[in-house]
Amino acid sequence: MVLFGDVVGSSRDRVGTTAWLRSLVAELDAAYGHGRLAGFGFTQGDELQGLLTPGADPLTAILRAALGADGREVRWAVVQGDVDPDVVGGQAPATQRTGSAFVAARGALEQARSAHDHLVIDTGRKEVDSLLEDMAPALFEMLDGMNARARIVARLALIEGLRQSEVADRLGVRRATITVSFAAASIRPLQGLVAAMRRIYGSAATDGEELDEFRLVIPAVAGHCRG
Amino acid sequence: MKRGPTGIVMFADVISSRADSAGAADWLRRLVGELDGKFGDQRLAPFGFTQGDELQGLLRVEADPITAVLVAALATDARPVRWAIVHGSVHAGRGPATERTGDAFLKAREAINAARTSHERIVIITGDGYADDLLADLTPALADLLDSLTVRQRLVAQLALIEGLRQSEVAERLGVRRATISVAFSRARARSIQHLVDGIRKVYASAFEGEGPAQQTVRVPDPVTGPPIHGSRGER
Repeated sequence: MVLFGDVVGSSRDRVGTTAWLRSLVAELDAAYGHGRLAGFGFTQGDELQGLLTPGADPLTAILRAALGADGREVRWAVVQGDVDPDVVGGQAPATQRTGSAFVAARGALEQARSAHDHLVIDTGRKEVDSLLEDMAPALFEMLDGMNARARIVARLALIEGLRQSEVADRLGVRRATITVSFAAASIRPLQGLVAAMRRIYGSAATDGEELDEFRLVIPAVAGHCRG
Repeated sequence: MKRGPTGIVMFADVISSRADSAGAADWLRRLVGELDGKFGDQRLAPFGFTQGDELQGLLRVEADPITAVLVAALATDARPVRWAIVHGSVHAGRGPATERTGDAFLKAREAINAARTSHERIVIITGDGYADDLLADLTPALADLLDSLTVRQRLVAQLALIEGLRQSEVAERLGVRRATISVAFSRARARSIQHLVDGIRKVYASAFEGEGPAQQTVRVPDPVTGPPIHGSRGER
């Protein structure tokens, strides 16, 4: 799976965008671990590139980019397809790799730019792609509408998978306060939307198996959760 | 036991209507009139409402129940409503929905009682586990987006999503400039809501694929398509 992310309006703040991308690359390298076929990287055009196993979960990258302390608007292209084997034995980063999936991802990102879409997806199954693209605008609407405080709460709930009481403990606030924060940040609707998108994506990407990252975020199953 | 014809039972419960019972009843009366007009011969029985401020409807299986949700939520004087939408068998009869019975009515009653306890806003039961799990995950986002609109944004969304007007037509109807309406469209989250509604309609329709020519299909016949995964019902 090839994953491209294009930082919107990055030309206005080149230095800041590059620093942001560098820390996102490190975060995604750690988050995906063995789900990567190559290290994450980014190009001079402020474009993030990743090469992941077919069963890896693209929502993880989208959520981590959107819910960082310094969230930026990113357009995403997610393409399942062939990638050329790497001449240096599987070590070269995604930015130095080629294959038809990279070409398709390039086209998908252009399409996202011209249509002002946040996500273009190509799993090879049109009905799955169109369903996911129907859900993406609502997802980004909810993610982009968050203030800094809501992003912190959303990050703990959606990425670290903490319950309300655990988020309250972590932030050192009362349970009642967190209940209000959860409602204000639309945490439950977001969790549902993300879960639905993961299931739909997984039905195409893994022939019915659950996504790798999806297993990791369920605490009961994830003895090896990287959190 | 004789299995009745199949239909879509819709219950809508005005949330905290007790605070303004007369106002809620008046609003429901107008909503019933609007839905009767909107669904016309797609109804198996006229819409009605009970003394407990609960709207009831019974539609043909080919009707789109999501439209009723939008009509109620995007009225300029909208009130918060909880929906139970159940596809199933209903007893034959002639009276309004409030006087009808059948398996789908019993399930809708159960569903709306459960939704009250769990604070769910839109519960849809097609009988297909995969579709119902997805719908349960998707409808909170729809309710959340619809709830966030102001009166003015609801009006714009109503013209776009229910009447199907383009931006230029909405601008004309409201007597404002094109540029103004473009901003209003994005504030009203018209595109996000439209897409999410499209997605929810596709998932809903996928539950009935292969049941007859009247149904839309999502899981189109496709040689590379494996069987859909079935999420376990207890995972939420």
